[in-house]
Amino acid sequence: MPREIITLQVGQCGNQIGMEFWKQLCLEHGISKDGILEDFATQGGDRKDVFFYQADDQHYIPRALLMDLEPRVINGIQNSEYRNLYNHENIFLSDHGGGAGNNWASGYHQGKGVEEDIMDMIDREADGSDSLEGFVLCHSIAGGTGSGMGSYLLESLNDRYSKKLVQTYSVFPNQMETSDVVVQPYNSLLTLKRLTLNADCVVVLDNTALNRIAVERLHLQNPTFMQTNSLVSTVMSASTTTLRYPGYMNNDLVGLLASLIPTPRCHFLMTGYTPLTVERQANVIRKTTVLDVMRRLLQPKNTMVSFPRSKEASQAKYISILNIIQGEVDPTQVHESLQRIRERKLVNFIEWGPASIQVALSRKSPYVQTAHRVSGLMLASHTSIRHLFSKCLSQYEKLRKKQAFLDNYRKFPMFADNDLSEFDESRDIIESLVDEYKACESPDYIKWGMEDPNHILTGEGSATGTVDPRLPV
Amino acid sequence: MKGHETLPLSTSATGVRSFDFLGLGYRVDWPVSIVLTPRALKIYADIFSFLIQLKLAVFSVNDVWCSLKDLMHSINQNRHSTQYKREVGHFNLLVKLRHQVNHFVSTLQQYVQSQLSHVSWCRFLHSIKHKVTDMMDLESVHMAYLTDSLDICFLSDEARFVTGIIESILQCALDFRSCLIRGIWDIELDQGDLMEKLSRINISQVHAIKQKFDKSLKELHLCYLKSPKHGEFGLSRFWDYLNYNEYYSDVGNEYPLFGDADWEIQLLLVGLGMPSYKREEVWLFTVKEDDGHAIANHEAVDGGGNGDEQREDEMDGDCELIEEEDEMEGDCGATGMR
Repeated sequence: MPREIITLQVGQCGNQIGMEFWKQLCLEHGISKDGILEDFATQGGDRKDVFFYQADDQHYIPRALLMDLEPRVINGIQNSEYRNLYNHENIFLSDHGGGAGNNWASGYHQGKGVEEDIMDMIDREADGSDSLEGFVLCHSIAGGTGSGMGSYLLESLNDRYSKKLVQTYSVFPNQMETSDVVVQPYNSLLTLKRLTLNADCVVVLDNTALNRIAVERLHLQNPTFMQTNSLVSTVMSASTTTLRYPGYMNNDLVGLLASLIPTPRCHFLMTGYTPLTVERQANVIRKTTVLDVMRRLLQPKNTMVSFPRSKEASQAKYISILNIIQGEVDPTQVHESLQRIRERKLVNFIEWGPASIQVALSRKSPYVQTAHRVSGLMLASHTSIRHLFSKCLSQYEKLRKKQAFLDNYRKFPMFADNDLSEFDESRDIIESLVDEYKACESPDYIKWGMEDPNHILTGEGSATGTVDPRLPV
Repeated sequence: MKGHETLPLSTSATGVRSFDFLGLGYRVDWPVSIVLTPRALKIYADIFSFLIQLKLAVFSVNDVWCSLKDLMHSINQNRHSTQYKREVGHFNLLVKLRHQVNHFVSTLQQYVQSQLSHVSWCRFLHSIKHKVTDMMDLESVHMAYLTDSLDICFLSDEARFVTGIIESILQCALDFRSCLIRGIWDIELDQGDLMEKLSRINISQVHAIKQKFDKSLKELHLCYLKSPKHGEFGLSRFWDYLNYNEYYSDVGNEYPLFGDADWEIQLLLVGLGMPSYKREEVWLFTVKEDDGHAIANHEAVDGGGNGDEQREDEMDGDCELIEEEDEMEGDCGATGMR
């Protein structure tokens, strides 16, 4: 039975990476640009119905909703060779087409205004599935539509579909270069609050790292959006392979997430991929064994989140790791590779609980030719992600101190009458998130943020009612 | 099953063997029956039941995860309340227990998948290619494959004690789920009624599950210490995965795998000159004790007793799943429950 997943693409970035994702899925499942199954692709053994459904005329249609407040990107899709792929009823463009002006508040407010239309579309898609597992949101956190409207959607989905999973692929802004969006720190902070409270899993795609990978690893001088987006689509499609080519384990989203996210609040995942290539780029063929792949995945240069190089950052620990490995693999190598990685102490794991590297050997699409024998994707929960949030916080503080650009926000109800408490609350929540990740680096994490007046947890406890950190729980 | 609202399992306590009414069987005619003997078929059926039990445990911990994430949403909504801190305490206990049980269950799943569906299967194919010249060869190569498979799943006669321990841990996963689901979802409550929800979870029951889990894990560790350390399949390899970050061998951790009691029992056994202890082992035992590793003999401790009775496998023939022989490729990938 399929456990269907509905994809929501919001804003410019969300629709761009969403489009790349669907292109890749079509290639892997042998579905043409019009949604017709290619003749060579009838004997798949793959599971297309998680992400696609079939129309009455047998066309495969993505379970996707495309939303934007300005028409440029979606018009581009509708004029491209993929124009017949999507269900046209699933496209939402605002009437005025004026966008959100890179303003989170505008996107959020407009989202609220069109909630009914959008929820109708979502309900229709949900009703069309047998056993809906959840939603995937693609967006960027820095602009106006993906961040603001995306935030509103996250809240509404939580209310309306509280039993369904919500995963996001969230693009974080490039922090190395000055952005044309000066209010990016405001937008990011406000979106981060929703990602923390209203999403079950956030796959962080850090544009800083994506650019670094494009420049350093792929030797592209000035990587285009097109090129970094193709990195994103590689990660997105690889992270869904175990759902689309199911085996005994990890064959549904809840199974994937429940292992990767032991503590529900720390649900931000980073990714790594190897070997990396950009679309149609002739790549250097290297020897790829399972050990090579697993070792490379652990190298910071291959991960799609950038870390600072500081002493504090070296304290970072892995909470969980899943490696999805595709290609010609000798299964006996998996155990040897795991042993080798352990002997060489290549991974720094948490101390407060058991942890290991999970390895999923997954089938690979027979329709996509690759130059390398083995490829691997890592999905991991790593405490260093907190540095990315800290950076967002410090950028926000800088801007907020100057009281800069707040007028654009005050125009909207949430911030009317100079009520900026939403900012303060968001900051508190992100600070607390950073603290929790930091606490994860200590062996005592599990007692984080708790009091135990009745000594229920320890049965011992001290007379004052607080937990002695040295006592076992 | 449609969504989480209409789970096929009741919220009352469920046994890890609840799906034993589902069996795997094949009607095999001559000449295929030369290779697929009744004994071989029984092994397939036993492995099938084991995989179902494991799936049921995985399903349970995943379901607990969903409940916990819902609880967390409620906690977030109440984050300004005065009782917040105390709720977080209870919550952390649940999260931690789920994490440990989940780690066990998913590691077991990972180990079984990798050894059973990949490694031993590849070896079987290799043997067929290179060692088989006639029907009798095929039969013996196939039986060797099945013997490996039994070892992998801890279902061989020698591993009975381990079978019992694993079953009891899988049962912990199911009990944990029943305990939580009953507490949280029996009466429909408003989102905000977090205190209600949390207070109706029977924390002492959660504690009992935790103790049972810890105890079983200790027993498993003792078995591991006694088991041969080479060998491709079996406990030593599973324990390697389970203890990958050495959480279970770090004495500083809350896991006092070798409490004083264990130590005394060991001394006693050695003093009594238990036959299975050679001098070298005693020496090893003393040396290793310093960093918390001791060599133990579980049979001496428990007499290999509990669990054996439950393991008397009866595969009811009434409920057989008749399939074509050519699907009988030992492919265990088809047992997913969803």
